[in-house]
Amino acid sequence: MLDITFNLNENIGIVKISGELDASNSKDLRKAFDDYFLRTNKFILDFSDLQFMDSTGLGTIIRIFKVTEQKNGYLCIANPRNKAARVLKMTQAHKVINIFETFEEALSKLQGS
Amino acid sequence: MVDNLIRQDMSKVRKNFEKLPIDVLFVEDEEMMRDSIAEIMRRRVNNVLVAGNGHIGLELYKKHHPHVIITDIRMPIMTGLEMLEKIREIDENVKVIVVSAHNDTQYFQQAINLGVDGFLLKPINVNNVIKQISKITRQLVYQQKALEFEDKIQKFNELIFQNKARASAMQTSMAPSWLLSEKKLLFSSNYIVDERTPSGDFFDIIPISETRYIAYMGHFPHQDIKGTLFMLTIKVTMDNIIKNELEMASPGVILDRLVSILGTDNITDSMELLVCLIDSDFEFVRYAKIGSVNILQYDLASNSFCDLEKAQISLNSDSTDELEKPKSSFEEQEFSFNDQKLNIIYTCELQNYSLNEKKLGLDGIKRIISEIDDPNSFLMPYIFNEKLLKEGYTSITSDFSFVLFRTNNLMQNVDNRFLVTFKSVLTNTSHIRRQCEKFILDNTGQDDLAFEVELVIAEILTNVIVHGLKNKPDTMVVLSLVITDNVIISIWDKGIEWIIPILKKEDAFDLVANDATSGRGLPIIVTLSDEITRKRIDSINQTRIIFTIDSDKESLC
Repeated sequence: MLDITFNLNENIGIVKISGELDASNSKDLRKAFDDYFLRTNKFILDFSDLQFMDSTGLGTIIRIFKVTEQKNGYLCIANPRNKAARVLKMTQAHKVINIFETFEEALSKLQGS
Repeated sequence: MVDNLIRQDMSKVRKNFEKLPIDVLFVEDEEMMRDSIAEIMRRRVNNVLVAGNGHIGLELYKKHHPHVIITDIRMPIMTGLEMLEKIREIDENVKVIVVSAHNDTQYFQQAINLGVDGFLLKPINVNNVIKQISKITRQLVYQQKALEFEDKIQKFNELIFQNKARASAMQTSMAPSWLLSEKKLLFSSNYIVDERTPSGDFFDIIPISETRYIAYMGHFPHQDIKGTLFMLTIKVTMDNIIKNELEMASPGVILDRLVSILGTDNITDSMELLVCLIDSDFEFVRYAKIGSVNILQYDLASNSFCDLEKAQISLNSDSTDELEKPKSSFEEQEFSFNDQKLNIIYTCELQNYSLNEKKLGLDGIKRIISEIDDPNSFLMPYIFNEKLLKEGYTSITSDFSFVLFRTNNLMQNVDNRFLVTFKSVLTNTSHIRRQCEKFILDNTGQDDLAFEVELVIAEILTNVIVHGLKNKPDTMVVLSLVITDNVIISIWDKGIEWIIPILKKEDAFDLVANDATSGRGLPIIVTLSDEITRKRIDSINQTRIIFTIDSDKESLC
């Protein structure tokens, strides 16, 4: 149900998370980042195909975000939709993580920095 | 560079995580080797004390009483064996590993006499040290567990042998009451169960009084016990409990082990664990508590109930050998559970339902069930309960409460009630979530509400099922979703209802926000889990999580 793809674009890790991120698969995402962190410390989480996210999923994202900060990196979310967007809104996650409406906005922000 | 840092970071975490809960005293006179080995050991055990000779080692031992001593033999001031001799005067049981060179063989016999738990040859291989320590730690843990079990079993033995009346009462309290009304339990010993024996639908270890009992109700296909309802009392040794991790094993495995230990002859001689078995090819079980389980069966083919009295008589027929398999036709013809029959297990206290001081009684129960259009519906017990309430019956007790189903992922939508049953091994909950969401949407047309219910159900499933039950197989969970003026979500597993504090929608999502953004990655209800308790069900009417629906919206249902 969860599909994670990783692409490195000029030192920016683009992590596309598709499907449903919940307690049953949040670990997979965290483990995947063990590897991604070896490659870069700048990430865009592409949420365009993320259908659902529960609090475990969100908690995992926040945890990854904090690790990124510790590594003096940067992590943002791009293009959240549907239920995932509602969870982000409900939990006011934007106060912690930068959330961009489109992928292009996120990319230009990172390339500019 | 960064990569290296990360790796170091990760390895630290891993090693901290695996630390063994023991203290080690390491006595070695060669300073460099001592420090380097101690340093590595420190990553793997709770605490490492070091000493340069036997004298210092002895003083450290007296002061700190470590669990394990690793000592060289030849050292200045006091040798390892001299130290060991003095320590053995204080403690005969402390675990000792002796490190020696090849040319120390003349000391070996002396070391053996002093009781050592392991030898290591120089030069010391750290992996071997850790292996030996790990092994000793396991022994220590088992010893501790054994002591705890011994204590419990001792207490229970006292009950059994010194207070037979009380032990008997304890046994009685777990037996089906209608069996006990004849003061005759059906004991059986001629069964064969093996590791292929499937485990049942619910399997619970129920703490009762001073000891723990296993209560098991489940599926046993073996001919000898097929179709029987019986209670079985078995003695089990503590070794067996430890070795087989009883709580996790399937009942079939456990019984097999028990039989292999005890033989099949005198399993009723003493009792430390009591196993209640009810054969169950049935579709569902109405179950409240072991202490007062009763069974009523409705035969759809003949539209009649099994004759309980006749059944009892046949169970208690003048069989000269009651350990033989029950030979009456009762089990096979009247009492075998199958699709054609409705099998209801209910608490005998049901008969205490009364209206104007007139008790409902067994006949009343039969009447009400026969009036239900679809008695094979798995909602039957709920419908039954509602009928009782509609007719004005009130209950003195409130034990009539729980349904358990065999079928996985069964969903049923009747009136305004949506029920889901599933096995707790289920980890992907999206199907259930979506069905619940759809149910709310269909019934209320409120998209927001449907989403919020879905989210809360996701949280509940995560916490109660995945975390709380730790994905134990054999646990069947029932989730009920009701729309009245509120949306009520309740959840049960095998006769235990999860009590989640009443929570307003707004508060719930505040908690989601706080907890999720704290970055701990913990789900919301974990925050509440101090207050989450489990208890035997008292009533199905208890409300757990309430969503208040705006009153200006269209009325529901």
